[in-house]
Amino acid sequence: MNHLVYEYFIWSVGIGMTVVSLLLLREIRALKLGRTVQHMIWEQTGAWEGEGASAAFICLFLNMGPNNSEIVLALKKKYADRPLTVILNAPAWQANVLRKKINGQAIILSDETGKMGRHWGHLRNPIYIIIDQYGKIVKKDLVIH
Amino acid sequence: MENILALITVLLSFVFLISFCAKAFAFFSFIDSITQFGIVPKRYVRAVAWCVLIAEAVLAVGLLFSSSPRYFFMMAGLMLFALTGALGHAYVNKNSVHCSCFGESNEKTHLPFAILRNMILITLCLYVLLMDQVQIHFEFERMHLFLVLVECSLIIHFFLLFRRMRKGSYERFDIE
Repeated sequence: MNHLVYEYFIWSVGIGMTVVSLLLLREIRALKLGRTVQHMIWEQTGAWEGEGASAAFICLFLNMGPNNSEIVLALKKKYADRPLTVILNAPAWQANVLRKKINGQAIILSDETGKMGRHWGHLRNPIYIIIDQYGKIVKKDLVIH
Repeated sequence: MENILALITVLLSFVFLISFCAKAFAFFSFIDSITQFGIVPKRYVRAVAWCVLIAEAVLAVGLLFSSSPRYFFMMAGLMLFALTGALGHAYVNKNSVHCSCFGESNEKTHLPFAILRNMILITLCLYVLLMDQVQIHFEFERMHLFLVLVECSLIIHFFLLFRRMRKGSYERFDIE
């Protein structure tokens, strides 16, 4: 009986360690991705030295679609206090069209290859992440529209 | 005969465990996949995702530990049938979907293969149900088996995540 309890204990420790490693790996991945996205956006928006560099912000990954402006405005309304950056998986001219539609409510960047968005899997719905000032992804959610 | 039934039970339990782990760690991909099928109304998508996740955990545990596994095989068969129906619906409508059956993926699901895989699993469930076995006997302690399966599914998921992380971590993006 004692032998059995000991074996269960060893297995439970093993499983616990694997779960902790998995969670750590996820955290590292989130930090790496968050920092990469943060740096790219800072580079593009010139926020290295300005106020933008010290603030947490929201990053929305959008594909081409008819409701994009509604999605951006709804998200901006939900998080009115945070700057919003939209990474649009579309050519630059499409980004310009969206920029005009939303009337300066968010920064729109064009990612024509869609590489950035695909880091969260091949998603059909838009995903948004909230990145804190240290580059850590503190929230991740889908916009189901 | 006993050994075959035990093997089928362990196999199905393992499949549900791997699927549960993968979905739990990539829950967004799974929610997104459900919307891709276009069967569930958008407002119920999250609820359905949670139900499927819980059902998979219950099945993985129930198949291995239950004293009357018939009901769990029946439940597993019905669930697999529903999932196969969704895949079949996408195949008939020529939808390209990422089913996220075993975690997030950038590869599109090869629907005929996924349907065939589910059909094989349904056949295994039916086989056990037709055998009319009241209790399945294992040569090993059930708890031992369960712990081994949990550990294996977690390790598989760890390596998949590690590979995925290494693949794209130093990539530069072209945004303007």
